[in-house]
Amino acid sequence: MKKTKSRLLHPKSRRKILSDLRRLAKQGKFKGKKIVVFGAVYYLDELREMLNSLGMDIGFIVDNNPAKIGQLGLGIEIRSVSSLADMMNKDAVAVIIASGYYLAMSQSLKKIGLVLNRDFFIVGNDSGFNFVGDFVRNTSYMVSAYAFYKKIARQCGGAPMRLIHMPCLGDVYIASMYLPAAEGAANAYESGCVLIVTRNTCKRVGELFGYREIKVVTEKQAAKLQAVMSFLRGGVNIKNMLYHGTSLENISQTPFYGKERPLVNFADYIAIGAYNLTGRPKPVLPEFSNRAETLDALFTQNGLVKGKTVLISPYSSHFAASITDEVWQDIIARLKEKGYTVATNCGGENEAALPGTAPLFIEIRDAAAFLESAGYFIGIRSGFCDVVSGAKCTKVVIYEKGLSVCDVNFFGFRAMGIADDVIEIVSDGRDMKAFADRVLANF
Amino acid sequence: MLIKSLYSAYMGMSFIKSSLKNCFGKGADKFNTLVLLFPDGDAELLSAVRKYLGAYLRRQAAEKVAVITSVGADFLAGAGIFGVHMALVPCSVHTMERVLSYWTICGKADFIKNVSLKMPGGRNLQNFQGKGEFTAEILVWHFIFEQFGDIPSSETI
Repeated sequence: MKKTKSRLLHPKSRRKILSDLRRLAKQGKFKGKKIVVFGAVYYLDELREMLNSLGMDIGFIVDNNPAKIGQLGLGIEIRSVSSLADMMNKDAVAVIIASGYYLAMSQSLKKIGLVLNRDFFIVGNDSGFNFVGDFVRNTSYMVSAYAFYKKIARQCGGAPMRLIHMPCLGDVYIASMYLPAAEGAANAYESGCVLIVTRNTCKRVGELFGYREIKVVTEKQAAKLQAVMSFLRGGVNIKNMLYHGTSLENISQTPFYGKERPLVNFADYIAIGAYNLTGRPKPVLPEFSNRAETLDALFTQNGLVKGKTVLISPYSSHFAASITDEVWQDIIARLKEKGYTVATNCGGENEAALPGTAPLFIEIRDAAAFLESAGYFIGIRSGFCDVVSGAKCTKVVIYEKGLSVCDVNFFGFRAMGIADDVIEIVSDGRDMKAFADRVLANF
Repeated sequence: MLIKSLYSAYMGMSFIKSSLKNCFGKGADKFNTLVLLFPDGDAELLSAVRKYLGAYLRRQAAEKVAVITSVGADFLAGAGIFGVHMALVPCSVHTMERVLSYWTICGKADFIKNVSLKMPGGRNLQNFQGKGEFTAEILVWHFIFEQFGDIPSSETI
């Protein structure tokens, strides 16, 4: 399946990691060695892409977090660090550390006898302090960032600006639900805020909430706005609506992944962390359109039956999914046997329809109404699931174990208290027959 | 405002640079040194730091630690820190502001850890304090020290 991927790494970090990997590969440091990545990091997919571009792939992952050991990340096994000690004599490995936690990680490896720049390599970071060089580079960036901030502020005519730097539909949806409470307004329109997002699809989600104005900037420009917010520490007319991601000012949420009962979940990060609200207030839900003619056309043109159609949403920009085409084909075939017509939610040209299903390009504003007519939804956890979470229909949302970004206890609808009628199924990526049975038990 | 902040960051950089040189000479680098900033005098925060700093430093495995503090260093008494070359660098609140300016312009340099409940941009970890089961200890262990798993019990600290 083709799919589009969002970039999670800061462009500067990505360039540095790639250039380090390229240099090490040229020096022959990886020759004949199995590549091991330290840490089931949230940007694992991007790291793998970089390695693939250099003709390498990830053999397995090691991690210090006991909750992740034995699970799969992008279909790759996650092992304990100590497992490296057992295999050192048998297989030559090259462990790659591409993380800000390089100090602790490198020490874990040294403890089991691995040697820096022979057995393991720190990429994306240099060992030497370069205070002046770093300062000059960062100052130059900050001057450019501030100029961009001033330009946007002028365009917004003094209205308060609210940024969502992550290119995720779900982030826009959830942050917008709590914005009125944070601003003491009845709704997003009344708040008078200008929403700034980094994708046109995010803008469309914002439109559901009725902001007065929505601006789309690039991710690089959003990073500049974040840098200004962080550096000038509140002395600007812009706030970030998120408390996570690649932001300079935000903090990690990963300590809570993999926990059965995390102290906070994603909605808390926004309501409490970003908005400083006391707990989670009642969310203000968006207004969906109900364009009957458009919806009717979708059903008739694609041979779909109202009340007996399953919309499958197999793509997710951020939450990597390892449900294979074969598993989907099994599910689709069995749905058809039960008399359902099946369609795929295709977000763009890169998201092909699953074989044997009708390709649907549903506008965000029509999504909930479409599903209420169709009757059924199966989706990999994505922002699209947030958008349709309020639709009155059978909704099956699939989560996966092993990856940092798709934890049902952190991102789950029940956990967040956003929708209690969503059927949430967790796949461990192993017994896919049993997984398909669990999905189909709802049809 | 920008020029003033840039100047502040430059002065902060100079302070950290000279502190590291004075404390560790030429033996410090990013792969063996950690700089801890203590700008926040919150009593609960510092109590939690005293409890967990030793465990955190053992996990971080830094050989050299520079503690730059504008809130004194009494909280470190009895913190159980062993096997680390630790240097205390007291500074004024004004200097700490400059150091924090440098920290933010660098995008939270990996070798610098800001041990504070107050984040730049007006965000406060304190937002979480007292919400549900959140305690200063949880905030310190999970959010500031960014450690996985359960908080170490008193036996394992």
